[in-house]
Amino acid sequence: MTAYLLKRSLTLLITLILVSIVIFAVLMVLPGDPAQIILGIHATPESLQNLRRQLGLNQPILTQYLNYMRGFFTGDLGHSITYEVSVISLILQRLQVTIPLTILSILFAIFLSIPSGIYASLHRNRPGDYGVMILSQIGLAVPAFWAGILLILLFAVTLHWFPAGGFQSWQSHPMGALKSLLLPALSLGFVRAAVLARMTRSSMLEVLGEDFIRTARSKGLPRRRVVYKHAFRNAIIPVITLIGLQTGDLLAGAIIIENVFHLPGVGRLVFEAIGQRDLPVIQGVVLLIATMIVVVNFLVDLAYRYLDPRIRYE
Amino acid sequence: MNKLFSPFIIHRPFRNINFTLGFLITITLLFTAILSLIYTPYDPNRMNLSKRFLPPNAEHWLGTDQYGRDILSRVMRGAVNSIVVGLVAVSIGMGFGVFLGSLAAFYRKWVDEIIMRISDVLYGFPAVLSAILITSIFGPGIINSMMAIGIFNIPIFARLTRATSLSIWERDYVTAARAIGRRNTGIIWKYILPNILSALIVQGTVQFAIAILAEAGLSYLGLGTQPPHPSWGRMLNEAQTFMGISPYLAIFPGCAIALTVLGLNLLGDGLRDMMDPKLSRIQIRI
Repeated sequence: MTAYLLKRSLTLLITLILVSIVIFAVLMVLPGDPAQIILGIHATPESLQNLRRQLGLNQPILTQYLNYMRGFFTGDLGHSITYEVSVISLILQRLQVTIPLTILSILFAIFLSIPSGIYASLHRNRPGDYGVMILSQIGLAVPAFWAGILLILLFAVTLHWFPAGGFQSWQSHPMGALKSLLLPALSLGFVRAAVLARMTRSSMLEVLGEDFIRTARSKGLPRRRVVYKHAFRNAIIPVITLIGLQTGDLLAGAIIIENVFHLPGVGRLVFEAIGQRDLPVIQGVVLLIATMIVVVNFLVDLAYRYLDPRIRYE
Repeated sequence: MNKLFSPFIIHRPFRNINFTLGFLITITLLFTAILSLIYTPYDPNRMNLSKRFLPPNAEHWLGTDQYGRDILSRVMRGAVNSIVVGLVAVSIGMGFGVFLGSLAAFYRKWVDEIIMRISDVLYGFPAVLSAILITSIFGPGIINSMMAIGIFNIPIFARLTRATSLSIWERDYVTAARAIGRRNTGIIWKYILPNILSALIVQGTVQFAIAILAEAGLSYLGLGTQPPHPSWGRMLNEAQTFMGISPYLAIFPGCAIALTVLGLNLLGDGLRDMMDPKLSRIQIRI
């Protein structure tokens, strides 16, 4: 176990370093001089030179990268050009929207998908199963942002039950904040639910066909107990893995959804930063999201082995 | 020559409902796209300010937008955009992915290790994220978004190619071919690729659908296709502003995206069922 953990942690570290090099290198090849972009075309050569020195742009690339990574591990990702505050404080502030949004959408997805997946597996090739499968095909085909637009059309424009967009702060209006996250989370969660429902169904079907289920039934255990205690517990393992592996897609989906609902989250931040060519912010957000994805995948891998002891630690 | 499952020996394909539905939808989409290059009811970009925000009527079947442009014509022309993006993105992904995956499966050891580690890094990057990175450097536009979606497809095909061809390298007929002195490139072309072709085709249809979704998302954000060219994602972005006045604007382009993706997904499912019932689809990413 310890050897496995060490090996896995080392791979995690190498992957993270590779990710950071890719992001750093990609932004290095950027056409144009960052100092010129920040100060505009009317800047004097002296002020440009000063800013370059201040940003460390006159140092060798390797030194720049090492400085950047030192900053990353000490929580300093540089300063935003537009907002003139540190990138990390900006990201932390915006995460107050993105993290609750992501968690809410995962919850929506779980509540929609797992019961319907189980139901479909227990009613295989019957109308209920077809219903769930047709709905999940639709869920796979509908882009989350269009689902969001339709929800706004129904619940905000027509029924006036929810706001069409915007966000109230957690400190002053906690209920208002929650309410403004419900529709975005639902539109993100619906699409995820489609994938999870299919996975739950197929995983349940596989487990239900196993010998130990037949044994449990033949020794007289009630069907309910067999389904939930024996089958579900085993079937849920790949579903949990899939939930974890979807973090990346969820965060990417959140970037678009935050723009649909005008939520001031990380996705909106990076989108605004592209418009303003605020490189430190783009670099910081992309690196942070990539790190989150890699770390979550690592944790999922560990959880998978913990949940299913049959998997050996190699 | 031994073929495990060939895409060319499908018997009675239209008995499979997924395949039939998917095939019909996809063919309709292709037909619409080709037709729109020769004929659309109106010029998709022609403005007519006296006919703004018309609901669907006999003259404009799907209504008109904020500039009085015909929605039906724009949805039709938008299909070309989606197909081109899907084709290019999947070709980039499949071309590089199959090459890298074959290298990894053939050389194994450190070549395999390096290719797979790099593909792990890329795999963690959702298309939208890599597109944001690429468009923030090279600027928004259809070419850059196709590249971004294509790059995101590379690790998917690389992994699939590696995983499926590894087992084929172990087969007796490959060993026999090596024993009679066939060259490695010859073995890859004649024995390995034909055997993994069906898996690649199935994954290709799925990735095609995902590419269309990703392009729609990017165009919605303004990073993909640029105006005035009609693109479904862009149309939805514009529609959102005028949703209170004309809800139709937000309905039809979305239906077009959903129907296209549904068609391709069903086609993929159907092909998979027919070619190899055991072959399971790689995780779906949107």
